[in-house]
Amino acid sequence: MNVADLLSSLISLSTLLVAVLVYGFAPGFVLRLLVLLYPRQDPRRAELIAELYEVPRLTRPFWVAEQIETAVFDGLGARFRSARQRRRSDDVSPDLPLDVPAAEALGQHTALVGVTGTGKSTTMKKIIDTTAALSQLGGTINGEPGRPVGQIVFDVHGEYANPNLQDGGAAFHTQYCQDVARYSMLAKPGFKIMRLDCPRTMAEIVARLRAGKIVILDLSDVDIDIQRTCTGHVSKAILDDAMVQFVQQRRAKLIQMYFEEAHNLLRHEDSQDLTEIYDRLAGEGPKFGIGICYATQDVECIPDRILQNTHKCFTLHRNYSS
Amino acid sequence: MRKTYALVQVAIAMLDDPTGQHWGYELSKASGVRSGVLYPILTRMLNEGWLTDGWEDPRTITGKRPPRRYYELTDEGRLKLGGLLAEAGRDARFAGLPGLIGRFA
Repeated sequence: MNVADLLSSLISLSTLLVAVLVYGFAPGFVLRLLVLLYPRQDPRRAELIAELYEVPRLTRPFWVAEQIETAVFDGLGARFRSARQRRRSDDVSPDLPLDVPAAEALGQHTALVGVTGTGKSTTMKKIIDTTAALSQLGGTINGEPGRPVGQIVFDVHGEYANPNLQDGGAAFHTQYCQDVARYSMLAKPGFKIMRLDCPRTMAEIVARLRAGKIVILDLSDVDIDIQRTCTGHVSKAILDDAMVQFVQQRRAKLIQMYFEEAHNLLRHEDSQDLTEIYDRLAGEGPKFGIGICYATQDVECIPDRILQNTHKCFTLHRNYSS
Repeated sequence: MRKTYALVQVAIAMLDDPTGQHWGYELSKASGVRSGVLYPILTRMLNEGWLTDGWEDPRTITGKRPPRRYYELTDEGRLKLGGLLAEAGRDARFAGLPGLIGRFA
């Protein structure tokens, strides 16, 4: 073999290597790099790689070169949109602190709106817990000395009065606030009996609230009509007492009332008397130091008078992270 | 969607088989639209609800290759693209476009 033959064979070998590289290895490798311009979950990453197998081997390098344009315009655009969405999602991080001045929260009406599972009950529990701490602290609110705040929860699901999985198997009164009186329509251990026809029970509840205590009314054992009747009667007793205090020119006690499933509880198409109670609570409640906080997934079913007099509305939603 | 030359070409190619499955590379060849333009059009059509997409059933694939993504026209897509071609047929900008000739003549 002379030098010319050797050179010729070397050139052939390098030509072969280049051909293998250009038509065999390089297109797939370059394409796999290009598709990285797409966001991680974008199906076009897999789509373009799968399409490569359909392209005849001889035209693959040119087809892959064409995908530079695809990846830059389609892929980078998708990545930019994806990053923008993620930034928007981060803006509503669940860790974002939310401060509500006490003077604007007590003795006023608040709505918690959101579908099931968005944290209405959890938010309500936090509000009750914070209000209880504020009630014990005293201090000053709007230049006035702090007052005890009585709180009553109309617990239609029994999730405040009883241990439940949502709170890791603990009951509200053991996890959040200790000084709680629980009432039930049925006789149960640890609960006081709630009797609508017993003035003493009503007076006891009102007295507890005026003393800044927490009352949980477990309505989970009775049907919706009894829930509504019970809620209406207790609300009336609280409002009547507040009016008496007001007429006697005593300093109004602060009382916060909490209604879960308000679209069911605060509706009384069949009872004008009960409807009037909530209309009065909505309109006159703040004057007597009574605020209501209601949670609902159906705002349209809340009586107009309550909606018109709602000072604050928190809309809750689930924050999906992709 | 803005009525562009490329969109009309893609519409012609897809409406040649309005109920069939369309694949990116073949659609690019049939329409004569390069993939850098075709794929953003497909994305927009998906977002508009004119197309649905899916992946080949791996059990039906012969040989060693990954499953491909296909596109199918929805009822809305057929209506919209049909309307688009009808408009294009009356538009001087698209006069002489091969697929249009005869389609709305």
